Amino acid sequence: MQKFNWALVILFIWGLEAQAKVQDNTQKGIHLDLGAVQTRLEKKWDAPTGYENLVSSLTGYVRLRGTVPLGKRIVWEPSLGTLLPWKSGVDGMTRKFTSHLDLTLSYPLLPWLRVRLGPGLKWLFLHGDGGEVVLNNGTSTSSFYTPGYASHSFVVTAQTGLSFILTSKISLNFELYGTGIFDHLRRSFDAAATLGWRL
Amino acid sequence: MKTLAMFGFLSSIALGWTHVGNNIRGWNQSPVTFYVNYSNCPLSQAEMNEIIDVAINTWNGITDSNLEVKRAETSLSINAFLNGTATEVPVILCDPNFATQIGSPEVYVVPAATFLTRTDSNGNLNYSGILLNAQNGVDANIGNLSRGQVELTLAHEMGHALGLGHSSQPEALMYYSLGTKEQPVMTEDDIDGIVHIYPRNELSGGVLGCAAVKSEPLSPHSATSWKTLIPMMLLLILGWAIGRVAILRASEPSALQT
Repeated sequence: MQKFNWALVILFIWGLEAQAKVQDNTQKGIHLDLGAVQTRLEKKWDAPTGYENLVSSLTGYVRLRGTVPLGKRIVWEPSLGTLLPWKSGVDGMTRKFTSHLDLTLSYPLLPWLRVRLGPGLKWLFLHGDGGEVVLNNGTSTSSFYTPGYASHSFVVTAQTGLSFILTSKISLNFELYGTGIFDHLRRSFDAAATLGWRL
Repeated sequence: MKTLAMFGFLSSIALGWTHVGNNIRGWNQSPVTFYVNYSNCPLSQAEMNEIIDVAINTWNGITDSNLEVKRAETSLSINAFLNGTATEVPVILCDPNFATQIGSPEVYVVPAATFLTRTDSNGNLNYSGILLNAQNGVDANIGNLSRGQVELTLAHEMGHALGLGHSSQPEALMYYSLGTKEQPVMTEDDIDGIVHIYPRNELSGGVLGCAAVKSEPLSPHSATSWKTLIPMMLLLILGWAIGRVAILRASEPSALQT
């Protein structure tokens, strides 16, 4: 608890300092955001004994984000980011690439706190080299096939988030990505936390 | 080149999902309708429907996929299906002579199996059926399994009928064994597998999960065509151009620069 209090004090001091620098951070420029994404927040499940919960995963995230002031308060923040699939799996026969193109606007709630909102596009690319693989089928083995062609999925996302302007160079960003938000079966949410550095 | 190499490395996530056939594509119908004949089933029609609906909703709830699955009733017989000439496919049938199809030792441990999965000349699935074990006197008769195990079994077999092979990941729905799992829950591995076969493209239809899944037909080229990349590239170029213009305009001192 004491550590938490100290963290709050440090954050407060940082915030005071940030007030003087906030305008620099939101001037036109490019930011490099590094962090992580927790995917499919709503689909977490209680894994049986001996199993891992592998439906929601924590994945690395890197993003380039522009800041373009559109007036006194509103800043347009287009960004292009990609999930870093550093988590290793079972075999090496399938590749996966996920990227986000976001076109968000941000607005200051406080001098050091901005809210971000806007649409985006998620691009999921799956590819394999093809070929036969023999797997257990319960009573013997059967031949199955790894994917031999590329597949692309594009889904529109709605994004909202908060940016804490820590210094003229550094910001701390929390975002929530929603996909299929009007479809109760498909609705899915990813959460991202990134530390941004103004290049 | 270094950048390309880095992305090649970063995108090399290893997964375990497979297809039932080489370069297989999804059913050329949307939604994919599973036809059910309730004859010979050890469970009531109402129970079967509840179980089938759980299995269906397992596959319907994937954000990045345009797959939509539903059920309908049929009077199709097992023999008509096994003859390979049925039109109401994929089908779900309860087989009281399951040992005839799967063998004598297996009938005691295998609660269901998917048969006769075939594709057309474009690679699209066009024939498949699930036979549920309704053989009397065997432990694997679905009437002897828990409700969750039947749901899990059916969702797994539906995965085969939809084009997925087994996964080498024990947690996956498409792993060959039920293990201690008690409900049909998918892992990222299952999800990626079905998205590969039935990708969703909201650039060509409705957005935010409203309409695209119902309006977008599955074509043999929908998964691979580079045409799907063109709108993405145009969007990227447009975003870059807008940003560039905005930056140039903002190069004059703005109100934020105090």
